[in-house]
Amino acid sequence: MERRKRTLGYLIILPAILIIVFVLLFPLLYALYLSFFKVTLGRQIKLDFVGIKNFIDIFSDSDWWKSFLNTIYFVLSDILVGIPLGFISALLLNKKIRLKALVLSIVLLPYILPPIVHALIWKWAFNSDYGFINMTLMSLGIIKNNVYWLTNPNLALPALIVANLWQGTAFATIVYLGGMKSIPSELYEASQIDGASNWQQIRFITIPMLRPFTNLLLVMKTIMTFKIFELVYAVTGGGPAGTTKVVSYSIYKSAFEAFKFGKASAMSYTLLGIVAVIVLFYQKLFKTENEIL
Amino acid sequence: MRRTIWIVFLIILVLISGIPIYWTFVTSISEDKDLVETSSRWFPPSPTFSNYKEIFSASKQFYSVGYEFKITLLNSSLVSLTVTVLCLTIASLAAYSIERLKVPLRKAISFSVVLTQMLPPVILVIPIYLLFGRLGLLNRKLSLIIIYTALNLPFSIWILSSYFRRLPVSVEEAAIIDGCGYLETLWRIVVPLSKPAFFTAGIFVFLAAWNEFLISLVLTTDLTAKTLPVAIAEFMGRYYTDYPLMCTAGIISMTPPIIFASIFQRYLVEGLAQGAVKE
Amino acid sequence: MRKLFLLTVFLGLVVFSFAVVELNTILGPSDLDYYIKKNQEFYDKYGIRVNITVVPYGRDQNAKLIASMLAGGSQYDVFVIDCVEVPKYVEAGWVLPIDEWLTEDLKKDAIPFALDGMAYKGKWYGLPFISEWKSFVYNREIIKKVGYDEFPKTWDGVVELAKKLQDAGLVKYASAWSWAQKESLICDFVAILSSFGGKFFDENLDPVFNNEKGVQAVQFMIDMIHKYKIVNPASLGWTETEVDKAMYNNDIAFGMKWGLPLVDLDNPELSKGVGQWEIGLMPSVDGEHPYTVSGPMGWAISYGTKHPKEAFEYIKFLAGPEGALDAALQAGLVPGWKSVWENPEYLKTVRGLDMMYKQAMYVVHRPRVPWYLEFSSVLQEELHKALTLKKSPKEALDDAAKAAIKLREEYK
Repeated sequence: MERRKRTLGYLIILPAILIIVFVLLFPLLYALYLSFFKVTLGRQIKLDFVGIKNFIDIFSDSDWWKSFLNTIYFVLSDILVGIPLGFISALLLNKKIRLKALVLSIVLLPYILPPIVHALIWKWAFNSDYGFINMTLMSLGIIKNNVYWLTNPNLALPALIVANLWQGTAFATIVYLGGMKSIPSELYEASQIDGASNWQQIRFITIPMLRPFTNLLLVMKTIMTFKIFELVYAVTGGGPAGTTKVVSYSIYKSAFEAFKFGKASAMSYTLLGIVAVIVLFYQKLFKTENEIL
Repeated sequence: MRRTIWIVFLIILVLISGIPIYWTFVTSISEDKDLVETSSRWFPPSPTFSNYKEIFSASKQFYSVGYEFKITLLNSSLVSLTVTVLCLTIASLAAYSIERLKVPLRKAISFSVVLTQMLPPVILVIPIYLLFGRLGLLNRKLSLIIIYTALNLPFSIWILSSYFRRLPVSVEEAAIIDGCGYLETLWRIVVPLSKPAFFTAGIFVFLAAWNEFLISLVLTTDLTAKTLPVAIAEFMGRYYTDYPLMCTAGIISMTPPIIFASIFQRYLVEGLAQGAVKE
Repeated sequence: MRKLFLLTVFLGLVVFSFAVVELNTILGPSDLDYYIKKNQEFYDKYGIRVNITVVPYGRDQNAKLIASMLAGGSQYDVFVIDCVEVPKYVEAGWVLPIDEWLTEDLKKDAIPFALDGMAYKGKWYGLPFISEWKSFVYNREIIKKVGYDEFPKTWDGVVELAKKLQDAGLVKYASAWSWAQKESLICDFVAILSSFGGKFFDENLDPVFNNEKGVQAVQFMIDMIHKYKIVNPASLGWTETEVDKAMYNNDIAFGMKWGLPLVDLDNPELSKGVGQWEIGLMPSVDGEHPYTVSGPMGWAISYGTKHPKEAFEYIKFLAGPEGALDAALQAGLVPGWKSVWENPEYLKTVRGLDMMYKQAMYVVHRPRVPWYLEFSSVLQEELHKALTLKKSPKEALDDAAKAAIKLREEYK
């Protein structure tokens, strides 16, 4: 019985494994392999083994770490602001309301906007002379002179972070909304009988029960935001004065502008290593019986 | 009182989400030279739907940008829907295998989530191109479907298995004692109870496939397989970006995912709370 | 402008016609109707079909080309190459030299910068096509209001004019530039550096852009924003799109623009200043260095083509003097041949072509080295640090020079 169960188990997981291995094994290993070489593109790919030089170069490159730090700001904002905001939105939406379908659709819209259009619309919105943000603030009398959102080295990163949060929060909302549906309503009913307030219900039932989903979001958000690219590429190009450059932009430039695929692969795997460590750290931090990893 | 506060917050939420989209829309119906006025008045001085007309009235005869857009819209819909269905099917089997049939691959799947989601397409695209070129599978929708499925499977398995794990086993055990096979139990009991998870994973996968740019760009050469993000990028000029046209493309390309999401969004609000497992 | 597309057909035809030569090419989306028409003419004349794969611009064509080059280079026989990519593609061995077909007549007819842009280490790799440079444009009507009939030739004169314009309240900022931390900043910097008599490298590829002329140029850019306040500070986040927008809106009185500027500036669907804008020569420090920046393209042949001869026939058909005249007349693509620029029929098409042709003799390339793009992104950031007052011009340029030397050594 147990053995038949196990056999069936392996049988039905096989399609997943096959397709992943078929498509990704070669590219993943190839990229890992390249990261130990100096790659020269030509009619053939010329490889010179350099050991871990690419990695050493990355670790000693202050520019790379600056990009890394900027990326961290995006990630942190997504985790510290985006996830709680998503939670609050989900709470707001998790009630019986009229036009629920419509409201939900509108809340989902930012998540659905194509990345390149998302980037361009924010670039236009933040335009100091022609964008609606300054024009609106001006007509409301909040500001007197144009604010240079994208060219002031102190404002550009926060501006991009806002644009990124705007798009990313909806994902947290959906995950939490789904999670809230997995909490048995008996729990709430019972606590109501015990005279628990709304706030107490959120604090002692909703939040703990959503822990696995929070954990999932932490991991997903960390992974997805570490890859942030379009926004920087299309809006600031890393400027002003390099204050918004991010890691994936460096990877892109190394690969397709400098043709340094070895270095780009090494950067990618370095990033992957760092994220893996962060994820392991989450695991330790949020060890519950419902652990997600 | 509390209800008022709650409604106010809800309105703020809707505004924050909606205003930039509203901007995308009013930009799409502005004339290029009126954009500045649109910004100051919040509405175009002379709204025009000519961009929409251009896209929808495009005929094959001219192979215009509009025609390209229409066809790639169909390609993208086909690819994304297939990827979503494939991904969710394969992933639910895999997740069930891990969670209920005790196949000890949970760690491996988590690891591959990090691996597949973390490596940027920039790094993967050339080897994938060489691989699929060797197999003679370039410029095929099928190739995109296979690649996107592979890229999104680990995440789908992960999210489904984390949800399956929370379902009470008692109902399933009862079903199995009643003579249901494992697969039947999965299909009849586990899947219906996990609708929110399917919605969450489904919309994630759908959008990932819908918005993927680089792999589609490099692997496709013409309208037999080209997808929407590549067509949208073609609206950008060398030195000058036509904002109204870009925004029109954005609005139109949001429509299929929105329809998809609206059809299935009741799954997001159904689930255990409906009391399906009361006994 | 209606953009037309041609579908590439890979399989179907090949079966029947392996004896027949077919060429494949890759193109951006604009002016496709023109190319399709030309391909039909080419077919009628030579019996050779040319299939077009349509891609978005720039970076996107690059990604596809790199992939196909690594897979043998036979997917695309001919393609359009940007001048800054020539050294890189040549070093990789991806483009064929066309010297054997390039006759003396052709060489003599080419505008020097246009053909130079396609040359590397003494050989030619592309036939000039869309041989653009950035033109200096100004609004005649606006400067007239403060008593100017002609645009000043020197930067001092420009500053003076700009202040008058702003004092009179005619414009908030007299000018705007594409100084976002992107390639567009380097383009403008090349022009300004040259207008101060500076240049990037000497014959040994040693950096000289950090000498006093370079410092002056950067200092002038800084002063225009921070001291004279005659350049919209938003320029630091702008690319050509926003600058063009400001011109169309008559928000600025002068600036630089690619291609044939007056086509757009005289288009009432885009511009509020129809008929008001003129092409001028680039101002300079002493009125003697009216240099601007080049951005020429050219048709190149892939190393993997099976039909190099036919490929050259095709690029000559499209981009040779006759083809270029056609392209200029029908699609407004900037020609790189003297004979076209001296053709009265062409000169009639748009206002200001005579002035543009004068400027064409003062055009400077961005550095022509295989590590250009890497250098460019370092320089963009360093310049930006100077422009946002985080570093002095000298420091910023010195740091960029150090990076340049490092890159040069790496590529040896």
